[in-house]
Amino acid sequence: MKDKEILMEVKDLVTRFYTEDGVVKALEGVSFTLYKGETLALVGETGCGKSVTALSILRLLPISGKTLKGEVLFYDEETKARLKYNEKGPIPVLTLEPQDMLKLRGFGMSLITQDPMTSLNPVYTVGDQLMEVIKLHKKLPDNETKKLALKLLEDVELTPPEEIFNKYPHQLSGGQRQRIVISISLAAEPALIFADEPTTALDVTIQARVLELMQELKEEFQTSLILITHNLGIVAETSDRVGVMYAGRVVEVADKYTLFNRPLHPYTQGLIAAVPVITEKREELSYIPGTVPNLIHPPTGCRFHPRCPYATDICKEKIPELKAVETDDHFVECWNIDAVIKDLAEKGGAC
Amino acid sequence: MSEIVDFKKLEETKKKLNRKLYAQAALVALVLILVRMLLISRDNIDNWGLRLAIVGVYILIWYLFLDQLYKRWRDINYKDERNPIDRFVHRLYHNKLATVGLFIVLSVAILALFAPEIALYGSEYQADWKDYALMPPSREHPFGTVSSGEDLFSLICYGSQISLVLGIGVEVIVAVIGIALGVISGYYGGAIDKIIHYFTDVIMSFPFLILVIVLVGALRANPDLNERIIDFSSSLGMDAHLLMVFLALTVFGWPGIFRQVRGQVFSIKERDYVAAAKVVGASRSSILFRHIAINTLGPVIVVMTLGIAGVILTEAGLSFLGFGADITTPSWGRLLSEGNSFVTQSKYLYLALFPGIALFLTILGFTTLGDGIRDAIDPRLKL
Amino acid sequence: MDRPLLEVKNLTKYFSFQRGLFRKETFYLRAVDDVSFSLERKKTLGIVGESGCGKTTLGKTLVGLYKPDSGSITLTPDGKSIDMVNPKDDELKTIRKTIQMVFQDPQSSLNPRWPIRNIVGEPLEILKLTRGRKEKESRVIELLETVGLKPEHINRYPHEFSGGQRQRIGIARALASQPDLIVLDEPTSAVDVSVQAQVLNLLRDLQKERNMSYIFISHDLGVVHHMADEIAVQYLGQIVEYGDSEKVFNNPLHPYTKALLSALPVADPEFEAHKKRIILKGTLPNAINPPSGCRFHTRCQELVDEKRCKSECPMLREVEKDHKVACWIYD
Repeated sequence: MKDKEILMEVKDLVTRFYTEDGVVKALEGVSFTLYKGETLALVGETGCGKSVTALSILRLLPISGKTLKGEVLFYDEETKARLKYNEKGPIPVLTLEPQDMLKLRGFGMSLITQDPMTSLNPVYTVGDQLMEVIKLHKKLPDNETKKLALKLLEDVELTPPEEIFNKYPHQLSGGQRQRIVISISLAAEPALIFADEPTTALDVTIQARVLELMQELKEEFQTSLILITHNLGIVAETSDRVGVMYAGRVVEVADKYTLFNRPLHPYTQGLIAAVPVITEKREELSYIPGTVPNLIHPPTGCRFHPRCPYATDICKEKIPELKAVETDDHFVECWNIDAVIKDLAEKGGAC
Repeated sequence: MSEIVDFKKLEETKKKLNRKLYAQAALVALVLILVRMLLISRDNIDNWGLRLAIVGVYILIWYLFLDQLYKRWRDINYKDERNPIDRFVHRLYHNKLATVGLFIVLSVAILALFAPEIALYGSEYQADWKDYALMPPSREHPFGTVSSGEDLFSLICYGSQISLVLGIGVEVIVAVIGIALGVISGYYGGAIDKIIHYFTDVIMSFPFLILVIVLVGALRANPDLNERIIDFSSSLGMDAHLLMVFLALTVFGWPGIFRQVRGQVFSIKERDYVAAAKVVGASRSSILFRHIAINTLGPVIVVMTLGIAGVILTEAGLSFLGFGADITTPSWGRLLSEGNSFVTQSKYLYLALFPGIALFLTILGFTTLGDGIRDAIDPRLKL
Repeated sequence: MDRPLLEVKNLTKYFSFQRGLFRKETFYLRAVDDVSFSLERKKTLGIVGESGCGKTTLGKTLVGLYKPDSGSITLTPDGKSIDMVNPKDDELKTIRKTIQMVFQDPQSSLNPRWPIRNIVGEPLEILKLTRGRKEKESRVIELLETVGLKPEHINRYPHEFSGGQRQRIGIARALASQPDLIVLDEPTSAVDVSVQAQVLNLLRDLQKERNMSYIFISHDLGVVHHMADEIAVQYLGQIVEYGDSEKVFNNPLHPYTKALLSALPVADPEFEAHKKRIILKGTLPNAINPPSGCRFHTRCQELVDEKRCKSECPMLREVEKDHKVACWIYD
């Protein structure tokens, strides 16, 4: 068991988007805990709310989105010092003033997005963009800033750094651009990095290297990582703990070995069974019947109930709570968890 | 199997209901049009307040009829997703400026359609009007009279017809040419594209105004040609020089749409559905028009709307300079030029004011409407 | 019945373009370079590679969207062989009926202004497979039901459907002419995991019912492993390894294949923890000016004979039964 110091607690986040089609209830009570130095993967299919969670915490939602309820408690001491937050206990992120939020972003938490082409400004050199971030958060003399920028470029294996420093984003390849984005996110040495599908736009071989790089840097900079992805392979490769999301809620949280060997939530089970895996040959891929629900008119109660083989009446009425099951760090939210466990025992343990 | 049977029955019922609906609609429309034709004999009704009321009621009936028609049609062909027409209308109404523009455009259209009713005095010039020349606004002449004695208000009403016919006529023809050439040029690329594109650039670089002036001037200098063209155009019911303007605008108006369409075609032709059509063996013309051209229409409508505004403005300008409409045609531009000569005397301000306002409002209406349509079509715009 | 359904020999497709002030220099992008393989009935060939390897161009050339610069493609749907590169006029229709394509992007593979009945009905109309509206309509409904959609969908428009449903519509369209061979270009890359599972299951069922062959192009090795009987690995336009799927996956021979397999994230944490990682150095070279000799030599982690690998380009050679490699290690 590693040293389990809590870095961030997210409690009951509720976020809605007010669009011309109606109110999209994107997050309906998202809760999880993040420990220092770990990689937490947020897995789910399109529309489950994993990106929205990151944006809600960073308070970067578009105009139509509002976080109505919830608490985000950030326990990083250095960030507290920077924000001159003198009270005892964690920083309540959702209620900070905008100027404090600006200091928090980049220094306390940063974000890597999926498409490096849109997160890098095409009219500035990458070096300038990197230095901009450094200047925002560290008060260094100019030559020191440049030195730090070059060091960061070396850290992400962009060599020779002086050459890359003067290039424009369109002159670099996808993998290189993503590394720039990573270096920018590390520039202020944040305590937490959100990585939203960081490698989806990259080739498999580049992806492997970038993920490995992120792990190495994470160790070196002592950062926690929230990795948002829909790819279970990446989760198995890179994460420590996993949170499975469905339709705006976190339905299961466990460390990765437990999750893959003993998934308890019916959705997790379905998801794992649907992925074609090289290590086994399957005739048919089992899949979850039905489709992802419409978040403007979501199902009542547990949002998974229309597709769940274990659904009972109570599932249609009330949303279940995330509870520790079997061990004190495996959380599942399901009314019929006992039935699920019983089935697993009959089938022989593993899925 | 049973599902198919149910569906077939459903489709049958739907078809029957639709047919009934269309027949009823056609009947009512026919009746309304007959009524309209009766109204043309406006000599029967002198009081223009009453006339306006009748026109108003007529329009109201049409509006109600169309509204009912749409609702019935929608009930029969119910889909549980919001269709794009609803969405477009919804977005347009959210844009206040565009709604104002739409209102203006519709008003001008109604004015043009019902000019004979709304205008106070007929379109045939009567000799004794000379006695009433240059009278300031009064009850009999809400906008006053012009130097020839004609009522300015009626002239403006008839002028709206000119502007709209010109505007819409030119734009429709220009759109057809522009889309056709744009699609061909964009799809084939290479030498064909270069030739057409070059040709378009040449047309675009013509000094349009000067060309029209030269054309009309040359016509006037050549009395025989002038005679023949006047005969030809009066057989069309149009003023000869105005016809020249119309032709000139058509010939020089399509490069805008051409470029727009050509640019779109470059990206559309790479789309997978075009490839799918090729794999199946669709003919070239089928691909060009049924697949590609049809997808360029959205932005083209925007360009057309703005184009109408441009045409109206240009025609007004030319008529103002004396190169468009002549004394018999009540183009707003021509009226404006008359008012121009008197503008220094505040007594006769109304001569320039009213045509000027008419022009201004109309062009503003089309421009804001065009902007509104563009915003409403854009899929990325989120409200 | 003796000849395979599709035989591809030395297929090459270059794209040329000119640069330089007066268009003096001509550059060639070697998208597909000397590719050969064959496909039997009822079998699936998977073509894998990363972006820029030319697999999409290969797929489009096979279907007739591009004209190859050299090589041959021979289609033998029923005893009689057809040369697809220079077909006779009356053979064109047979080709179009026999070979169809499913595209990657559900957003752009269906014409947004056409209702589904026209989209799926287009092949029927053009190839004159049905007569009259009613027959066409009932056939379209049949096809929609085959892919799991409902009859009332025929009047709807693409934007009213989800990505997964649109992919199915694309499959229905491809099935309309009852083809013997379908080329699928990344058919599930743009959809979610559970939708992907449904689509893949559908494809397999259809293959069994209709005796169809597939050419399955993808960068996702996991999916290809699930679907393909044979697999071809493509790098910079060339096939570097080709053979029976199980053999290639269990015993990858080419260094690129090995790297590709090791880079693939597998949804099994224990496997991942003990996986041998091969990280390729460098980046994909420019396809316009590929490396000399073996194109992979600039990134190869098992460079065995530097001189030879840099100067001579290896050919596909059979190392074991149903398993060919283009690499000097196995000379």
